[in-house]
Order: sequence, then C-alpha cells, then structure tokens
Amino acid sequence: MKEIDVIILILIVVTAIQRILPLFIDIEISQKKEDIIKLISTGLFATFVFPDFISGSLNPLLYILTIIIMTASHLLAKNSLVTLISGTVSLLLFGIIN
Amino acid sequence: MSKNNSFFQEIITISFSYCIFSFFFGFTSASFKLDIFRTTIMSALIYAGAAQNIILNSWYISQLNLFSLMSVIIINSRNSMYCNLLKKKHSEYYSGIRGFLLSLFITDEFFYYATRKKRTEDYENSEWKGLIYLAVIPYVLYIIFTMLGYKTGLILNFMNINSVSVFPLLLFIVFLIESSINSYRHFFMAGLVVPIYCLSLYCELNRDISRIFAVLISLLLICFFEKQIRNKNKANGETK
Repeated sequence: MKEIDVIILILIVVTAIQRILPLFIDIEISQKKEDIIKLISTGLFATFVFPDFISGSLNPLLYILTIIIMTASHLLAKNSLVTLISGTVSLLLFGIIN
Repeated sequence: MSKNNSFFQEIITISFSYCIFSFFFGFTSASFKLDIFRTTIMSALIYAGAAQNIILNSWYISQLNLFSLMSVIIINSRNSMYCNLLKKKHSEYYSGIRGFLLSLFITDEFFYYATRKKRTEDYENSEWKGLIYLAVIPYVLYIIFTMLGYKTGLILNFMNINSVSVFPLLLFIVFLIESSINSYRHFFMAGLVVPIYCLSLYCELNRDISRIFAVLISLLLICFFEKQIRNKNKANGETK
C-alpha cells in the first residue's frame, strides 16, 4: 500500500466521522473556540497555497484576473445567468493562461 | 411555480460551481500523474475541495505526511460545525435518514443554501425534503466532472504543470471570502501568516515547523491586537 493510499483512507474515515458524529453526539463548542479553530484553518490553508502562487511562473495579471472572475462567479451564485457568463469567461481566461 | 424555479436555480448554481471545481481537481490530478481511480475515490468519498487539493499538492511535492493530514482534518472540522449547527437549529427536520444523508453531503455552499434566511423563515417539510436533491445532484455532478477533468488533463498533458497551482489558490480565496463574511479576522490571518511562513522558510526552517510557527504567531498577534483595541474602546467609553 502506497503512502497516498494510507492518507486517502485515513482521510475518508475521518471526514465521514466528522460529518456524521454531530448527528449522534451533541458537540458543545463555545463560539470563541469555534472562531479559533476557523482562524487556524484559514492560516493553515494559506500556508499550503500561497507559496505556490509566489513562486509561480505565470503572468500575474491574468492569474489575478482569473481568480477574481472565478471567485465572483462563485459568490454571485444567486444569479445563475451571471454565474454561467462569468464562469465561461473565466474558463476561457484559464485557457489563455495555459 | 416560483418556488420550484428558485429551487431549480439553486441546484443549477451550486452544481455549476462544483463542476468547475471538480473539473480542475481532475485536471490537476491528471497533470500530477495520480491515477483516475484514486482521483475519483477522493472526490466521491472525501468530497471537500480544500482537503483534496492540499493532499494532492502535498503528495506531488513529496511533502505528504502526518502534519498535512492533521491540517486537512482541522480545515475539514468546519463540516462538523455546520452539521452541529443545522442539528441544533432544525432538529425536527435534520434527523433520521434525512439528517444522515444531508450530513454526508454537507459543504460550505450547501450549508449557505440550507440556512438562508428566506428558507429558515418559512421552511416547510417538503422544502427540507427537496434539500436532499440539492445535496445529491451537485454531488453526482462533482464526481462526473472530476472524471471529465481528469480525461481532459490526460488529453492536454503537454500543458505547463505550474499553471495548475492557480486552482488551490482560487479555492483558498473563495474559502477566505466565505469565512470573512462573519469576521474580518480571517483576512488578517491570511495577511499575517503568509509573510511569516515565507520568512521561516527563508530562514531554512522545516516546512511543517514553519507552518505551525506562522499560524501560532499570527493567532497570537490577532488576539493581542484585538485585546488592545477592546481595552482602548473600553477606556474611551469610561472617559466619556
């Protein structure tokens, strides 16, 4: 069994437990603790993605533009037409970047 | 009729964003030469964009270890919080098989739609039954588009791999904006943690130690400044 298989397997089990456990057990977490966990998540996630961006060899303008458009398409999800148009534009831009 | 239309619109919008995300996950995975079976299993059984991408990236740069696994578990813990919140607020609807299914398919976007003010103000049993469709249809599309993305990645395997790293960053930005709707602190966290992390790497510290160091220092700084601002506000209030 490869290392990635073990990690995927552990992650599948843990994710399932994380999702289902609250159905059976009342988890009491104070608002303060919840905020700290969320902040730590943001911090950890940032350390995994930003250095890639910093060391990337892409045209930064297109890079940022694609991100803005794709993010907007996600956030404007209330209007499916806007999502569809902005999503298509972002996909085209992604093609240009590549 | 209008209710059906808005419901249909919700399914389309969630599905559309999932399709983009899963497509690029599959695409990245093919570029990183992970096989289609593992890629699809990840999408089907983990079903969390951030977690999948961190694991994939860490594996690709040979940094897959217990720490990256722990990080993913911490990041994914918000799913537990969502389930907990839904259970507390809507215990009469969020229970039994329905609750079980909704818990399995819970995501940030689904949570947003399930707790929309409009829905929670006049939620009806039938509407909560409809949520199952809102959870399952995007999930099925997520898996299909992962495979499609993978196949596309294989066909276009001449592409520059570095360019694919834009996707985890995009995911992070969406994650950051969603988190920051309720609290500005997440922006500060991201702003502080990245330079500290880069600085620690520059000082040739181990990657994992740098991560822990950067997150802890940023957390302490945020808490410290918040306390200072709170004390200042209190002092201003007393002098008035």
